[in-house]
Amino acid sequence: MLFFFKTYDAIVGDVTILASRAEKVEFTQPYAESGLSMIVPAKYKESAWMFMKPFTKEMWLVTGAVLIYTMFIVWFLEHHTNPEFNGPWKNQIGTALWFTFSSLYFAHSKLLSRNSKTRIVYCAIHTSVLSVHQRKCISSSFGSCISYCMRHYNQSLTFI
Amino acid sequence: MWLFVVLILNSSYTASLASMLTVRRLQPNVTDIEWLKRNSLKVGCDGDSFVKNYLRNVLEFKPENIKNVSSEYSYEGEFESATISAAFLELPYEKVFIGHYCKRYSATTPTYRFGGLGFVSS
Repeated sequence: MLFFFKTYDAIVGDVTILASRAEKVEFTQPYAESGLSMIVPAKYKESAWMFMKPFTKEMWLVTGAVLIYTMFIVWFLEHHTNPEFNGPWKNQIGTALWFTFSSLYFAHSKLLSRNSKTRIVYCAIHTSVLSVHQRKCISSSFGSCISYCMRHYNQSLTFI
Repeated sequence: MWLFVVLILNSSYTASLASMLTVRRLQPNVTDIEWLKRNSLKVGCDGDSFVKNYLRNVLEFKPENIKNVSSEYSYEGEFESATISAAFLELPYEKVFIGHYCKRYSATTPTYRFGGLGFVSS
């Protein structure tokens, strides 16, 4: 800075008024206020597709495939004997689809209605295990943050 | 067998959705300088400015956690590569920055005030 002032008589620019600088040079009245501000990335927003996040795309595909497969097998085994699976094509497909998707929601709840407490406990444990796992992931990414090496960057814009 | 598969599928879906939502809540939003120091996260500032010395001497950040960012337009890349967790800018530059990237970043209100910007004569 001292070198600067032997070269120039005045500076018209964005120079912050500081006590250490004011000892050596004279400042005009401030034309803009200044302060230290911290900038952080905005908080993550939850999207409408949040419900798709728990499983990966592959998992969804496999789940869909397994459902269709089961639907087909059930239809194949039943359509000779079961009158519900007879009739026109549309009815057959409809019944098979309904059976498969309803099994996702109703079948096991019937099966386990007696020990639904067990299921709730299982679900809770599973949730907490997964939560703890995700916390660990975050802290390890902080670790990688810390081990980052400094690099040099080209200077294109400077302010004093 | 099928019922068992469906049970596992259903409960892991519920569980992981719940855990994802929980972790998002727990994740602290960086608004606190003490929190940054405690976790020794990297912060970015202009290396040519007095802000760098200010961070080191007054706010007592460790020198290795202060990262020089030479251009105002480089902060975006630094944030995206998770090189820095927060950036410190002076108020006028902060206004320009937020004006440029309005929605993706948020700025805390400045608690540390300086004298302002002025013209210099010897």
